[in-house]
Amino acid sequence: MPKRKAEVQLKREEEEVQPGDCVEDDNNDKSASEGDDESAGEGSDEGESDEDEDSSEGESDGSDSDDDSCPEASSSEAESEDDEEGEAYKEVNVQFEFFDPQERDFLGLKALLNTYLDGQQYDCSGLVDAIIRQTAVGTVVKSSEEDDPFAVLTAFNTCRGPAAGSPWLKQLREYLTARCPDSATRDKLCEAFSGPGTGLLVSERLINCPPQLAPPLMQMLTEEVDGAANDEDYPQEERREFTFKRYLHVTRVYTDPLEEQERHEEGQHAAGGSTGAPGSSRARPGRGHKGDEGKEDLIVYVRPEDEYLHQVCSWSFTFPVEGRPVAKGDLRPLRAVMCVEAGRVREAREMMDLVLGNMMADGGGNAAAAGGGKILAEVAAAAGRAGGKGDLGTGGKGKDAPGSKGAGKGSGKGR
Amino acid sequence: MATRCQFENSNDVGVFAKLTNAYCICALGGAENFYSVFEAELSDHIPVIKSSVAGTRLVGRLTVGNRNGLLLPNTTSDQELTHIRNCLPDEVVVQRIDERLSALGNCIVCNDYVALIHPDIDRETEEIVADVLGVEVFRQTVAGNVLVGSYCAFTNQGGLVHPKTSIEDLDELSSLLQIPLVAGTVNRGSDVIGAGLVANDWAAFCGLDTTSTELSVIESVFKLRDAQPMNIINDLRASLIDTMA
Repeated sequence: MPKRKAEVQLKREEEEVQPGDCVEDDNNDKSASEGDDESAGEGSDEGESDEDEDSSEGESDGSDSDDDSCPEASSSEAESEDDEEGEAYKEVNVQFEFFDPQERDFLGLKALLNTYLDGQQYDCSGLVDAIIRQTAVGTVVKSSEEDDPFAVLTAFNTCRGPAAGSPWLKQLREYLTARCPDSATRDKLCEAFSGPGTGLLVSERLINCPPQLAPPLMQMLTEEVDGAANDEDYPQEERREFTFKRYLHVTRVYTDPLEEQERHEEGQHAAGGSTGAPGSSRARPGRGHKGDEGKEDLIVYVRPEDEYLHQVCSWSFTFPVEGRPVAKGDLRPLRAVMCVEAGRVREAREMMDLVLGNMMADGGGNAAAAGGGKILAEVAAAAGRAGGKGDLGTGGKGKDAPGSKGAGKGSGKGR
Repeated sequence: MATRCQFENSNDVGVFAKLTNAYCICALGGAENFYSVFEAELSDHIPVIKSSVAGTRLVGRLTVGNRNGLLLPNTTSDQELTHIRNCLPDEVVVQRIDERLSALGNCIVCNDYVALIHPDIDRETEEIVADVLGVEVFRQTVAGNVLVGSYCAFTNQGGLVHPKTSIEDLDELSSLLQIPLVAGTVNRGSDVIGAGLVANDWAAFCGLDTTSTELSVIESVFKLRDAQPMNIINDLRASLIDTMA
């Protein structure tokens, strides 16, 4: 059964090597900021820290070429731009592939999801196991089949199906309920967890994953869920499992303490009402953990789908991530929990596709993407027919050593 | 007997423990659970001690030893050195060595007779290893990896190496070490064998994620199936009597 779902070509911006530099010197930054997707997060971080070094070494090469030499990369993002130091960026083509979660992804997914409860120990193996066993719904993003995943998105029914009674789900529920800001939210959360037709979205990705990954991921999720819910080859019981009325989305966002301080000083107490234009990163009044009456939580979204889902959600709350030291002036990490009615997910997705473009849905250009759409349909149908639990295999096969190292590096950035 | 356990939700047991035929060192901190699993299996036969090395819990990866001796990196503090020396039997020579590659557990792997070392280790260190541990030392790589201690684990009975080791390499290593070797994984597909499990001649510990297939491979290659310490002695006695009869 074809496991590969789609290929997406993206352009990534990368620092240009100064003409005078010898290769050894740049060994670190070059190899780090190369299109090595496993350390995508690390690459861009290192790239930034090395900018200062490079600019002090000599004049920067001011001219940049709009690198359109790659015909396949159709819906790529903007051309080269200069950063604040006047360094030129060169574009690098990066290929992301979307797969069904497989047994070989176990260790990589475990690395991604180890901190799902923000450092608290929980049954991570159980969660990864559940992701792998659920063949009908779930997508993993890797740069090739052998590599480690750097993004995962899947949905579980919280009260039906194999995931329902699992220890990890209980632990997650306890973790979230303990951090609800008030009892009303707690009741809503408990109701969402125990009520029928709730899909828990498990979504994790490395820091600095390109935002263009989100629309195809969301599209695949909705298509797979719809497919599983409606495919007649599926037994009735399993179809009901994927008939979601609402989604519970647990994700990571940030808040900007400096800006909050500024707004506080300006005496802004915008109570209720939305202040920002759509697409801005101001949140609507969430149940803030600060407890200030009428004060909006300022939320910075790093995952594009969060912003749009938050706009259409029925309720939400955020809580701070404890125990992580944050440098002064840095964004503070939060977790956000929101409940989105199933019917409104389409709205959110449409808004997101307008802003980011959806590589999978775009008709023109990328043949792989177009083909990917077809492959996806085949996969969904085949998954429907196959049904049942995935084969865990013997676990006797090893993984590439570089792959596992990449996962190790990546997980550090993924928090 | 191969047992599954976890150190604070980490399946990498070989990072937080060092197991030999004469003693076992576990990391400090962590739930008592981890320590008690080791104690339950081992304390009747060998001392099981808790210590830190260089202020860290990475005792498995920073130290290397066998029943003759134990080598500690130069970052070990004096208190730790004294504590370990006091707790271990007198026959075990504990020595702190000056080596640039201070993660000794990653660079050196040994049983009671033979050791493999990282190709870049100093000559001096190689001599100390041969001296203190009483072993024959070979500079080798495992599956093209210089970190021999990370990618293989062996005892006097058998050994497990990185899954991508070629047949030729396996044969070569096996003849060097004079023990049967198998290429396999631990902890559900992890190729970092040295970090994933610890073993001695009658017991082995690996992470909770280890599949039953992996576990049975471990039990068979390390010859743990019926291995109890007394069994080894009994078997010997039976074969002696056979010969006399």
